[in-house]
Parts: sequence; C-alpha cells; structure tokens
Amino acid sequence: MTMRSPVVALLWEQWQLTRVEAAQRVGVSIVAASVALRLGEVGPTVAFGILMVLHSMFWLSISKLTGGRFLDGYKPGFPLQLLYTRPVPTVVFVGVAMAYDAISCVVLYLVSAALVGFAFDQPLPLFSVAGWIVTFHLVCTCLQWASRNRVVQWAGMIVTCLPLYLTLRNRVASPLHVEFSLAENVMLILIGVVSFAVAVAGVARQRHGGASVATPRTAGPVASPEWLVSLFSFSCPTSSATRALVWLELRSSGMPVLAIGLGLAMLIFMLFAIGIAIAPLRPYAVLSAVISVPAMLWLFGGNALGIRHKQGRSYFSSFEATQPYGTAQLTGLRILVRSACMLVALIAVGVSVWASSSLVNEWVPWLMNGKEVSPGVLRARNALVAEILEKPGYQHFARMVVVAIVVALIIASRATFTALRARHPRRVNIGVGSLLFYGLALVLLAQAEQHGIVSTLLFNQIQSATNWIVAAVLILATTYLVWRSLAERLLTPRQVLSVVVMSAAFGAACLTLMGLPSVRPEGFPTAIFLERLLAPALLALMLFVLASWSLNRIRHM
Amino acid sequence: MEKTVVDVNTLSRSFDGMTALDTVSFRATAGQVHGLVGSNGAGKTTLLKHLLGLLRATTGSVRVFGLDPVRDPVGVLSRVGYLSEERELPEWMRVDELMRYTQAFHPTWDVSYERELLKTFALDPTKKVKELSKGMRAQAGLIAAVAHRPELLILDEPSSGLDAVVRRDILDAIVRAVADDGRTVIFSSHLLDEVERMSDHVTLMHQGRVALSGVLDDVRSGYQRSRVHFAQNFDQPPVLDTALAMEGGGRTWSVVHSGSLEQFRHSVVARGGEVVESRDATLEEIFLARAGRSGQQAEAA
Amino acid sequence: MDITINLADGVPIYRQIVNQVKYLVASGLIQPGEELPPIRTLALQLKVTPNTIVKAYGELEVSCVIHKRRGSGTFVSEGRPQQVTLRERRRVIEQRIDGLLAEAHQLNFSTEDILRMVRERKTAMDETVAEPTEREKR
Repeated sequence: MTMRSPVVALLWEQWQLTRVEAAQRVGVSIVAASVALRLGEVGPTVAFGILMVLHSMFWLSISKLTGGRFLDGYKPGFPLQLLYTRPVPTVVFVGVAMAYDAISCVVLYLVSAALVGFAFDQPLPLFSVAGWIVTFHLVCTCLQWASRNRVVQWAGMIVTCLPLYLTLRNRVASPLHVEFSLAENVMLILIGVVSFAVAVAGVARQRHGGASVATPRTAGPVASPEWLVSLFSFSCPTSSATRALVWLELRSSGMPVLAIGLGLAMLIFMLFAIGIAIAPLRPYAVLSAVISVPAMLWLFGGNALGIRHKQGRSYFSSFEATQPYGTAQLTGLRILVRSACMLVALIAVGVSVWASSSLVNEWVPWLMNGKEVSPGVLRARNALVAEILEKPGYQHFARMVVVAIVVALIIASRATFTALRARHPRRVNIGVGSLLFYGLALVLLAQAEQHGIVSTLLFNQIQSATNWIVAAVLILATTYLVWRSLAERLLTPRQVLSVVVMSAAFGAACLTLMGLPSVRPEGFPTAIFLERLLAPALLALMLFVLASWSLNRIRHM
Repeated sequence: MEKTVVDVNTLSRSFDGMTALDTVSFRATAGQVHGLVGSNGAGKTTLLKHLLGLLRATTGSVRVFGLDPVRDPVGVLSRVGYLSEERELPEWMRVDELMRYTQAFHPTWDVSYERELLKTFALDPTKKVKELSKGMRAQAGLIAAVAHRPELLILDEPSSGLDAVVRRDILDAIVRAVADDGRTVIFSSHLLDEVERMSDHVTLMHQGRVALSGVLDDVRSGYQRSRVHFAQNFDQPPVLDTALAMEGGGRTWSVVHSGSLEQFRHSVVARGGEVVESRDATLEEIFLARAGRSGQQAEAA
Repeated sequence: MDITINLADGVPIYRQIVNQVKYLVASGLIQPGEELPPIRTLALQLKVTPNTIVKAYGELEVSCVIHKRRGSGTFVSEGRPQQVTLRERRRVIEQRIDGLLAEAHQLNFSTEDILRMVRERKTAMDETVAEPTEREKR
C-alpha cells in the first residue's frame, strides 16, 4: 500500500486511530436516540440533544493524533514532537487534522440523525446544524492544540463555547427544527476561519520552539491536576500495609475528589447567592445544581482500581502489582476509599444544593422569565421536606444504606469495566456491542408494536423472555464467579461471607424502600419479594466479586 | 542438597500467536547469582514476569519458594525485591514517601541500610519522582528493592540505558545481596561482560528456548576459541567439525567451537591447516555463536 | 590488594585471582601472616560475584597458600607455598610452545632455527639484566 502524498498518509493515520471510536459513537448514539424518541412529546428534543452531545465531543481525532484527552498523550498516535519534524508545512497538517475532525463528526451526526429520524418517522435537524458542529469542533481543536496553558484553555472554552451553545439553544424551535439566520451563518464561518488561523499560528510557534509541546503521558486513576495532589501532603504510615495503601489512595485520588466536591459545593452556593442579584445567572446556577451529582460520578467515579493508560496501552502498574498485598483486599480497599470520599463529596454537594434551594425564595420577587425550572427547584425542595417528615425513621436509614451501596456499586462497576476492557478489549467491545444491538432491537420492536406491525402478545413474550434470560445470566454468573474465586484462592470463605452479608443488607434495604407486598406471605416468598430482595442482592454480590476477579485477571495476565 | 528457590517447569507462553517461551525449564538455587542472557525478544522479561506472578502460567508450572506466585502473591512477593525495566513509580511521590510506603509492606526493612544507600547515591529525599532523571529513578527503585533485604532479588535489565556510575551501584547491590547469607539474585542483562563477572550460573535464551544453562565456568570451558591458519585461501568458511562460528578470511580464521579440542584439531589438519592458539571462549563469543546470525551451522545439542 | 580481572583472557575469573594471589605471595608483595581482604570487600572491589572469591579462596586454601583463622579472617600462610603442580606449569608452557611452533612453521623457520633463536634471545636478556648491576658497581 503506497500513500502518494503526505495528506493521504495523515488522513490514513487519523482514520486508523478513530475508526473504533467512531463506530462506538454511532452505535451508542443511535441506541440512545431511539430510546429517547419513545419518550413521547419531548422525545425528539431529547434525542436531538443526545446526538449533539455525542457528536460534539471533540476528542475524536485531534486528541488521538497526539495523545488523548486534552492532548496529553493517553491514546495512541504519533507524538506531536514527531509530527512536527515531518517535511510537511504546518498549515497542511493542522488543516488536515482539523478538517478531518470537524467533517468526520458532522458525517457521523448526519448518519445517525438520518437513520434514527427515518426509522422513527421523526425528522431531526440535519444540514442546518452541520455548520454549527463544524465551527464548534474547529474552535475546540484550536483551543486544545494551540496553547498548553490550562488557564487559557479553560477560559477560552468558557468564553467561546458558552455563547455558541446559547446560540444553538435559542435557535431550537418546536416542532423541532433549527434555523440560523444568514448573519449567524456568516458569523459561524468567520469564527471557524479565525480559529483555524489561530491554531496554525499556535502550532507554528510550538513547532519552532517558542512554546512547549504536549508529550505522551501516563494517565492514572483520577485525572486530577498535579498541584491538587501535592496540596494534601501528609506522611505515609509505616505500621501496616493496609494503612499505607489507604494513604496512597487518599493522596492520589481520594483527597482530590473530596477537594473538588467541596469546591463544587461552595461554587453552587455562591452561584445561587449571586443569582439573587444577577438574574441571567440563575439558569446556570440551577444547571450546576442539577448536573453536579452526575458530573461528580462521571468524572471522578471511574477507574478506582488504578489502571493506567499510556499511548493506547492499558495496564496495571507493575509497581503496584508486585506489592505483597492480596488482590481481593486491594480491590475492596480501593473501592471502599473511593466510595467513601465520593459519598462525602456528594453529601457536601447535596447539603450545598439544599442550602442553595432555600435561597431560591429570594429569587421569586425577581422571577419574571417564564422558566419553570426555578419554581421546579422549590417544588422539589418542598416535596423532599414533606417526605422526610412523613416517612418513618427506618425508611431513611434504608435509603442511606441504599444510596451508599449504590455509589459503591457504580464505582465498582466502572472500575471493573475499565479493568476488563484493559485485559480483554475485543471481548468487551463485542459484549457491549451485542448488548447495545439487543437494546436497539427491543426498542425497534416496541416501536413496531406501537404501530401494530408486531402483536402485543409477541412483544410481551419477548420482554418476559428477556427478563428470564437476565435473571438466569445473573444467577449463573454469580455462582460461577464465586465458585472460581474460591477455587483459585482469590477470595477466602470469610471474604465471601462478608460480601454476601453486605449484599443481603443491600437487598433488604431495597426491599424496605420499595415496600413489602400488601399481602403478607405466610412463609412462602412471592415473585415480587424475590425480585425486590434477591435481584439487588445478587447484582451487588456479582459486581463485588467480579471487581476482584477483574483485578486478578489484569494483575496476573 | 542446595535449596531450590525458583523452579520453573516446561513453561510455555505465547502472545497473540507469537511464541514468547517454548517449554522453558529453569532452576535457581539459593545463594547464587543467576544471569539470564539473550537477544531482544528471547523471552527473558517474560520469564521473569512469570516468577513475579505478573504473567500467569498457562502451560507448565512456576514455583517460587515452593509457592505459586499467582495463587499466593503475598507469600512470594513479601520475600522478593524487584527492579523492573519500566520503573513505573507514581510520579507525584517524593523519594522519602516512596521509601516509607514500601517499608510498610516489608517488616524486614532496614532503615540504616536505606539511609546509607540514599547517601551513597546522593539522592535528595524531598525530590518528586517526576523530577528524577532516569538514572536516579533506577537508584530509587533499587533502594526500594534491596532495603528490605529480600531473599530473592529479581532485576530485569537493571543496567539498560544507565551510565557507568549507576551501573556500578547496581552491581554493588547485587554483590552485597549475595555476600549476605543465603540470598539469591536473578538478573537479566544485555551486557555480557557484566553477566560474566557477576553470575555463578548463566542461562542463555534464544527465541523463547533455553539454549544453554549451567555454571558459568563449566559453560565457558565447554567452548573454545581458536585461531587457525590454513595453507590455502578459502572464500567461504571451511566446514570443520564442532565449529559453531567462524570469522576471518583467506587463510586465517577465528573459530568458536565446542566439544573436544582434539577432534577439532584433527578436522583442521585434515583441511590442511593448523591450530595456532586456543583458549576458553568468552561469554560474548559463545552468545554470538549460539544466538547470533553469523553462525555457521545449527547449534549442536 | 592489587588484582585485575581480564575477561577476554579465556581463563576463568577465579583462576585469575588464584594465579595473581600466588604471584603476589611468591614475589613478596604480600608477606606471610598478612591478612587478605574479606570476600565481600574483594568482590565489591573487583565487581565479581562473591561466590567466585569463595571459590578462589577455597582453592588457595587447598594449596596451603592461605588459611582461614576462625572469626579473624583469611591470612597468608607461613612458609613456602606448595608449588603449583608440575602438570599445570607444563600446560601453560606447552600452550605457548604450540603457538610458537605453528607461527614458526607459517613463517618458514625450522625447529633448529627456533632453538637457536631461543638461546640467542636468552643471552641477550641476561646481558641487559647484567648491565645495570655493572653500572651500580661503578
């Protein structure tokens, strides 16, 4: 295979690096949008939102070119220093990279939107948004590449992307269609051209030594900045290995998570307080309150087991793998510490939101825009207060247990997924792909059933069959994992027992929350009882055992 | 009967269809220095990773101190010191924090030895790992590996990419580890003169198989290097009995051969030449003859 | 102790150490009763595995060049050391003679030429040794 020109070679490299992720994006977006479109009236808007979010994420090609998220080298590709030594003018390779990034994302969006719109007979905006997507990508790429200064990058993102987002939002009309005026289109083109020029200038400066270049780095458990980790310096205990490991966990990820949580809590409160005086800030205050918890879980709840990524390779550090400490204990410890820190951070955020929502009362005199969100916050608060006063004490206790264990389960499952994907990337991709495919098939079937193409009976049968299959898989998987873990001495019987007890407690708490069936069974468990107690308990058991199993698999390859 | 510290039996391993190890058997006895040599990709690192449990034995068995490193990682790793090629240390840790952290895992940590080594290497304990140069990282990793006086020290390419000063430090650490009673060292290296000085036993690996293994002096005495003069000119190396590699040209050739000197001499005389000089081959010559590309014929058993 | 190791020599390291210690003792550079460095120190100095030093010291002890005093260390033995066996000495010289003969044959010298040249060289060497003593006498 000969590549006739540097441009073709650059394009080929981009394609090679991004094709898997492109396929994943298309798959996930189609399934998610299909699910959203079944949500009735608000469906199309939600679907559109999902598609835009998935296809506006700029970490597709440019980051792969050098490295990964924010160009710091977590993913494969030629390092930037090598790219800069090629006999190709700066304009060419910057142009090729940015163009590929913008155009490929537009194409992916168009394909997904067209498919979903056609399948569900709900046309989604197509070419009218294409220009916006291109501009957005160009701006983001320029910011990430031209400067390595984090302050510049973040400030630039806020200054440019926020207005862009607002412009889009203002142009979304219902029934769903997007239209930009001629002036706005020209503005978008202008912004695109300017960002291209700035990118070329910035890269040229880097190329000729005027500024530093992003180099491939190792990504560790939590992508927290270095200065944050150094901020909380306390000495390592030498009395026992467990304490030293807790110290390591706290230093490398726990304390940063706590700090960020506290910072976020303070920020939310401040935004609400300032919102009293500055009305336009209010939507953002509410937005930050709403997305804070999911954002914390998304950004800081992953990779609790400490898998490292460097230039496309995912592995477990040999420094940690050769420490004389049991795999199961290490798993439990890491997940525990991360969950504890995450819980504290979430509680801080929750308290802040609670306190901030009381400030909303101060907003009411100034509330002139017809937005329903602000009263919505008040309504939610009042409902919560009523519930607290109404429900008995043990319900609250059960709720706290459930919340704590659910957070731990989220962290455990994300950690397990990262570890398994590092060990068996192909199998995990195939598994996830098949699940998505199955989900899509179910959604399409539901759609067909609604249109009368497929009989309701058949659909119900398929649904119940799915339930049975899921239950069977859950039971079989749990049994197999527990048996193998005991056989390989991965878990001691005592450890298995403690996990079982914890899972049973979780199941009991779930049952308490969801309520016992009205007819008290005389010593004979009904299906609902089983479902509400056993399903969560089994799920928790399986996830915890799977977590240590996955660490074992990647520690001993 | 000497105690066997490491016992590897017919271990095989392949990655994505490529064979890294092919029925490798390896035994390390206590109190000895075992050198592992081989070209890149011969399987040295793969073998050492199996000893630490970083790789799981799919066929064959691996026992360290009589334990399986995968089933009982704590039992094995608490008595092992490991210095790896990658030296994957957390970047944000300071040197003194690294020492304290590693100390927590090994009750046998010797603080005075650690301080002595830090002073000898002139390592600033308050420096972060990311500020250290490659050589200093190797030194820090070495201290972490030897300060708890492990029974078994495993060093994977300890000298690669390091200057002579750091290399000397590492060799010193090996000597001291062995000079203290009963401690075993296994190290792999490209630098054959280092292996020759430092090993009691040497194992040569080639393309995933053990090409030869034994006490270093015995191995060396099994191979000779001779200078041979012939009466006539040869364009191609002449075929000689037991010869493994030939260098030179025309009438003078330098030959590495194994087995009996008499047999070789007969063969030379039969081709009209004579043996001028003969001595035991160095490890480098044996290595190049067995694993190099200028080998004249396939290795004799 | 002034010992150097030459890896390209073809001689095993422990044997080089043995030979050099014997030479040092025989030439009087180490006096009888003097202490030899401990195994660890010598191993660190020469950058060789301690087991090689153990082997070398073992062989020296067998040939009664040195002896171990329990708890105190290793010392050079009193009295004349046992001679290196005749066989070993013959072996070293025979190797040299074989090389010499082969070279001579290549360069077209006969055995008589070689013997004559050996005597000539010996005479010349004796004269150069004698000259300084003559100069000292004057």
